[in-house]
Amino acid sequence: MKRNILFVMIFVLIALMAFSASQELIEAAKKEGKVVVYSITSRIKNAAEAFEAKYGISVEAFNLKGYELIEKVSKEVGGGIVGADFVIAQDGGRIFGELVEPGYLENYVPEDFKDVIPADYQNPLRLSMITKVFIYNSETYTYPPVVNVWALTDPEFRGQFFFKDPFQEGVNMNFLTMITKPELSEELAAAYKRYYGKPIELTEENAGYEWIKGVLENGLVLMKSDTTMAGSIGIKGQGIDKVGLCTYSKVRYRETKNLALLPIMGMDPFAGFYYPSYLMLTENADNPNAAKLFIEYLLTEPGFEPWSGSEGTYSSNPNILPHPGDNSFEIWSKLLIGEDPEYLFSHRIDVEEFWNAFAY
Amino acid sequence: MPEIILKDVTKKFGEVFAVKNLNLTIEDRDFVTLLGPSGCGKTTTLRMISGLETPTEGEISIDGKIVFSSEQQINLPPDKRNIGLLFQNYALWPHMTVYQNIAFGLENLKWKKEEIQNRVQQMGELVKISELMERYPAELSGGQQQRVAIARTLAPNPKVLLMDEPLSNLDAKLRMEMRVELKRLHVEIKSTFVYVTHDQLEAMTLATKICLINEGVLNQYDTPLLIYDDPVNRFVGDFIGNPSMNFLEMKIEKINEDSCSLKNDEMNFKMNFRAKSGEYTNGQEVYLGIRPEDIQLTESDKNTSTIYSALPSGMETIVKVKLKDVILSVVAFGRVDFPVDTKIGLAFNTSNYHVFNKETSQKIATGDLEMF
Amino acid sequence: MTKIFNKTRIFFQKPENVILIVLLIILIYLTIIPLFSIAGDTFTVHSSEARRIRGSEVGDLTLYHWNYVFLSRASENLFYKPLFNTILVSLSTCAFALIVGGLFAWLITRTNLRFKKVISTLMLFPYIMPSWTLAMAWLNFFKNSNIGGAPGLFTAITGIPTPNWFAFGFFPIVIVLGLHYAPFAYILIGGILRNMDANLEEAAVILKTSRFKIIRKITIPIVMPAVLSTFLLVFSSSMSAFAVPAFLGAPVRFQVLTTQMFRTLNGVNPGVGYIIASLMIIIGTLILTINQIIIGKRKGFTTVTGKSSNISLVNLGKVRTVVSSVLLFILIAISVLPLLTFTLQSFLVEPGNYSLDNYSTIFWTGEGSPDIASGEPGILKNKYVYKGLTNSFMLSLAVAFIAGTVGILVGYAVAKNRGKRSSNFLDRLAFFPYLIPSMAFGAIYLSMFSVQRGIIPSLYGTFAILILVGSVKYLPFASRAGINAILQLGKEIEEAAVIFGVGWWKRMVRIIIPIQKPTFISGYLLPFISSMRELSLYILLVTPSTSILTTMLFQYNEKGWDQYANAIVLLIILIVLTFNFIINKVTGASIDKGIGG
Repeated sequence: MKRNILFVMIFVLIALMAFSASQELIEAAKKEGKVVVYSITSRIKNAAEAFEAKYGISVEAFNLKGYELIEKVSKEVGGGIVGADFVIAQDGGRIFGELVEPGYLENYVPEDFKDVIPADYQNPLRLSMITKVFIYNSETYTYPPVVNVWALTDPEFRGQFFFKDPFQEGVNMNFLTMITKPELSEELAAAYKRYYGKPIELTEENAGYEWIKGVLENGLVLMKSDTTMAGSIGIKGQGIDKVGLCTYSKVRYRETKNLALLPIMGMDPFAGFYYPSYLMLTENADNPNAAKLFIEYLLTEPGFEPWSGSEGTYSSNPNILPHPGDNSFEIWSKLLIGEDPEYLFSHRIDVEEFWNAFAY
Repeated sequence: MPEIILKDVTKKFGEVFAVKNLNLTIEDRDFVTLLGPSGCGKTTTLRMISGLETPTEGEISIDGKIVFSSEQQINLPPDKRNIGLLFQNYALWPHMTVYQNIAFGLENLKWKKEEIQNRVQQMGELVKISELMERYPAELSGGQQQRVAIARTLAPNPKVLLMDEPLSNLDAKLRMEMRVELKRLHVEIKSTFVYVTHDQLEAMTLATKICLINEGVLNQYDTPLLIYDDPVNRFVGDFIGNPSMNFLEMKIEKINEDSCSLKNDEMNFKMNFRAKSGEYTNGQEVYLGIRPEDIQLTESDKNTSTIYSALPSGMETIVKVKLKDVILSVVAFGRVDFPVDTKIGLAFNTSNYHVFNKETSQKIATGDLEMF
Repeated sequence: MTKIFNKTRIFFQKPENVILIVLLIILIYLTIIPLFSIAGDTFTVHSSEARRIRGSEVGDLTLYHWNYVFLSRASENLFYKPLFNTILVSLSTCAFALIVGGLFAWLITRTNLRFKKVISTLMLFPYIMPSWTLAMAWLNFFKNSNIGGAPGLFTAITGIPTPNWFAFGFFPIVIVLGLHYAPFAYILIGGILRNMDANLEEAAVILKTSRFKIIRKITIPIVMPAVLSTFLLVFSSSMSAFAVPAFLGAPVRFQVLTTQMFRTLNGVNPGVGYIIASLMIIIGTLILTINQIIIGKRKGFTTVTGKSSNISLVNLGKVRTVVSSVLLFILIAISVLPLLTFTLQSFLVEPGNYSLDNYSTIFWTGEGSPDIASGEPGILKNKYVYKGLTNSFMLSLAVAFIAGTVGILVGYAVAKNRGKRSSNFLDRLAFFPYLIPSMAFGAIYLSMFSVQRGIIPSLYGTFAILILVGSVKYLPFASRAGINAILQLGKEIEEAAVIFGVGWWKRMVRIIIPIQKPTFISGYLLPFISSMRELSLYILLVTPSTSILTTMLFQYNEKGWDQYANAIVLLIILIVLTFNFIINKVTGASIDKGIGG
């Protein structure tokens, strides 16, 4: 019996050691006493509280929009101003060129996680994968009102499709860029044929551009906030027949805000897109050790709890399971479009230009 | 000996001369008025003496000490010049009581507390404002404010008191009273007064010497009566005296050693010189200056004129008469009045008639007149 | 040589000359030089543009931006349409403000309207409140579920969904800006009407002219300069408005120049943003220069005698009570209801559900849970809100202190050197920031100080840059007050002390400042309140750690966290109103008595 207890204790100790930061780092971090983080996800504030409680290191967590984060970091680090110690960033399409390449942001992977996190998630280190899916009002419609993306260009859907402003949140521009990639635009063309029963007649470069133009000219509604979008779609008792490409995690408002939100998983040819969020140190971090400690913490189960508590966000740490009732990221990744950094790097400007000519 | 000497003092604002080459010596215990029309440079002169304005060039000394010199690069600040300055609008500090107003300057000059108290009290008695010490300026009448301002100025016991039109904000009756007070004060405190005014009557009544300035240039510096009786040019003759001097445009002819004839289309005079002060030639155009009290109204039919208008004021009556086509001012003393449009004769019986050069306006000669 | 030296020495013996020169140098550096910097930025490749402009390096010279704004495929949406929208919005706002403000002014001064006192007090309310509060209130009332998330109160009560054109875009922007500036028109026109010598109108009455003809032939021509001046000031103010079009226009993609400037300066294409900023500076300067000329002329022919005899008031007759009540009702609706909706919205959990069981204090005192408030603790428990509040206060205090103090110095130097060319120049220079639209002013500071300039390090992200931009922007309020105060005082008051050898510092502290205390205080307090409610000036320059209440409000609003946004609006209004009230009681100054804007 006693031996058993001993074994359990040793096992627990080993487990703890495996997933807990080195004593030196903790001490160095505590000496700094403070850490500042800019984050594209608002739930960082909950993680910050837990972190503060655990280590007694005070956290200043600022929730910024994608464009703001890039702007602030490049100006601050570029100007030698002390701002954030580390960031949770998104929009690989811009941050590689504008923040990583000039050396404003640096990659850091905690020792203990080098073997845990898949290698292609390590440079730069990802915190999570975030999904954006087509969402509809499940009170009004038992079944999705549309199952093909081309339906969104139909006159019946004029002014009924919500999309996040892609200049405010660059990942959406990445998505638009990706669908102009030959493989995906071919899929779009095929979906067109399935929907209308005839092949697409191109007036633009390919079916991807054609679809962008189609939705823009069909009164596409640009939103500044996923929260507002979720409210607009999911409100009950209004007979809403709208569709939005919305952060999937907003379905958590089903309960708390009494919204009727369901994803259109069977959307042809894709149900939305996903993108990674990155954890990176700033070049001029004032509190690098505390930042490292916090990064490490965010990769653990308690650290990731604010996100794993609902659908739509999936840790890069494979040991952290998705929210009960949600699909695994594996399943989602087959339905959704990902980011191809190389293609984005060379083509995003074209899509931006294209977009500028129609939007705003 | 607080004597003030200005040597070649010039002040330019941009390209404009406010004061030009002013030379002036103000003797100890003089009461000098700087007189002239507004904008003539008199206030600027006063301010240059006080040190509030910096001359462009020249030298000023007070009491034998050079306080400003453009040559030697001396420019003492006002508080080192031992002067007091009384402002036109009194410039009392509205947020201080009468007492504080008078004491503030003394405190700043590092006087001892008791000394200040005594001095303020003394000043209050001098200008009769002892009961007003705790009041604020806004609670005082114009005359009382004036007294406070004087007390404040005199408190540090300046050797020279500079005054910039100090009475112009008072009503006529108060002004008269204050003139009397000022003149007494001048004798009582035994200092030198320099007084700026544009009111010739004030200048005449107050001053021991008048310094008449026009367009930045000193015109005449003399005792009041000399200035009145013996103006050096047409401007002085015109500026001093109320009603002002009559000027008749004439031509000078038949010049002798001690007389000449003065003619125009309507009139013909012969002048016998009493004094000569300038060159003149035959046929030269001149002004004949006649003070209103130097014309007598007569019952005779000589120079018959018409009464144009009469303004009796009790003690005297100002009469405008029309002699041929010229309107002349005449003062008739005593309680008299004249109906409009009646005929009356004129006589020129004194010897205070002046001839001025029309071009230079300088006086040429003075003498009596005979009418042809 | 010694003569020149000597002259210089005498020149600098006078404190007003020293101040004049020092201020000239500083203000040239802070207002004129940045214009060159921003002009340069319109020809430069910025880091986020290097990829866009093929084959260029950061810092290269380029004509790309100019070409892109005026001649590219995107020009129409990027520039021409927003320009057109801006002009349309500004003109309509002017018309609205002038009609409403003018009507009120006429009713108050020339008719026997009831409740005059209450009406004229309430009338100022929309102007004292920041313009975006009305925009927020509009959203609270009229937003529809088409775009704005949950439907607003109007739909909830009546069941009628509001159409998009009514809820968002041109229409509500004009209404909101118009309502905000109508009091301004009312103040200016009412002032003229009140002071206009009534004899002018009475003379016409005696000549048996009809009422209508009097208005048309006499009243209107006389108030015309005021109307024109109001028109120009309102035009330039609505042109530079940012928050209102951002809140109300963005959902329907209704863009104006300021929103485009904000969008492009934030990363995508700063060069374009700098061009828009430069154009707005030119337009703003032009308009307000014209206004100065008009005001100058107006002073020329003075019909304003200040003596207002009792002109016979128009009898509104039977409609008197009705009209008065309707006006009163509208004004109460405009000034009180917004506050109620802010309060209401800040307690609402489920959007659009206005039933009683849906109210909660979670957004005020909650700990913040990821499910409801996206992890954001309630306003009263939120350390970031406190930080923003502290920042706002500190910033406004610093701005008020600097602007107010420099304002006094400017006033001193200008008034003492009156008539000199350098003094006129300083006067204009200190007023210049007023001519520049707020966001464009922020943009020029972004351009000027986000890199190292000589000995001055990059100020971006520091509190200093916010203080700097605020102090210079609000200097005109303070310098006006300062100049007036010192001119009013007359030079003798000070000279009386010079005679006693009182030093400059003591003269200022013991004589000049105590005497003109109320004016100087308003020179401190107007910048304070203005800074407290300012958004567009600071928004380009704040960073997370220097966030202030208004920028936090903007962010909450963008994120769609309505409850927080409403709670913060309430907070700001409370502060602004409290301070305005205190100032008004203490000094008689008030925002509505400022130089407008």
